Amino acid sequence: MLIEQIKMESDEKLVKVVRKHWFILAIYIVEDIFLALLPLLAYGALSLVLRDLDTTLIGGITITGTTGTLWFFYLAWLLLIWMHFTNHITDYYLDLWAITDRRIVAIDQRGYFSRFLSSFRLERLQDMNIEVTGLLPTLLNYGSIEAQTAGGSNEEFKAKHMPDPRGLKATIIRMADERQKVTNYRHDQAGL
Amino acid sequence: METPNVFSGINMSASFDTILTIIWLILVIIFMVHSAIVAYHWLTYGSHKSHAFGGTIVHIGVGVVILLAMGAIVIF
Repeated sequence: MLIEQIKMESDEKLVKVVRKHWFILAIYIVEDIFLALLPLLAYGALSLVLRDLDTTLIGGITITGTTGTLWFFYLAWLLLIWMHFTNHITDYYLDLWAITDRRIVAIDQRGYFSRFLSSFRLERLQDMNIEVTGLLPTLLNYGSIEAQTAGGSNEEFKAKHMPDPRGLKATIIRMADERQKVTNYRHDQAGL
Repeated sequence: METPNVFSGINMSASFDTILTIIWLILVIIFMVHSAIVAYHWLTYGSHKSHAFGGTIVHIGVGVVILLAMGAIVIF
């Protein structure tokens, strides 16, 4: 599971796991419901058009196939949509930031068998920026969060559609300060 | 001299029910492979074992119900 994957240290504590905002999941759900209903809508519309034209559209083409066969293909479509929905859920569920009392682990799941895992220690945190742009992100309180770290690589960690970016930023900065105090104390103790 | 047709004697025609059965079998294989991949990812990388296990059961359950309904249409 996640805890084994991020190889936590013996006394390291997992504080928070943050996934994308629920609205992103809602968009996936609405999209897949629409796709699932699309053949029914198309069938209904086509039936109306052909009935109005006395079922003689384009050389007498009709859509009066056997009901069982139509259901078979509709169920096949539903199965494909169900798998598509599962892919969306996988993307939502496995794409996350795991915040421990020592570091932040950013996991970016880009489809199956494509996973990027990066982490930085809280004492290396230099700056955090948040970006909330647009009507819906402002109303629903989600946006991008970006962490800049000190070090040779000058890495940047960025995640989109994170819920409550201000609160998340405050939590991370508070934990980074606490971590800094602990690190400084240990350095002082070592110096004595 | 007439060239013999190597395919002569082989009945290449397939009934509509056979085509539906083949489509169904292909979908069963695709769903099985997809489910194995999903289960592996959720159970390996998920944050909660219960969520991952429950999600996998729901995913497979819904897929099996759809495939059984399709199979019933082919049979009956």
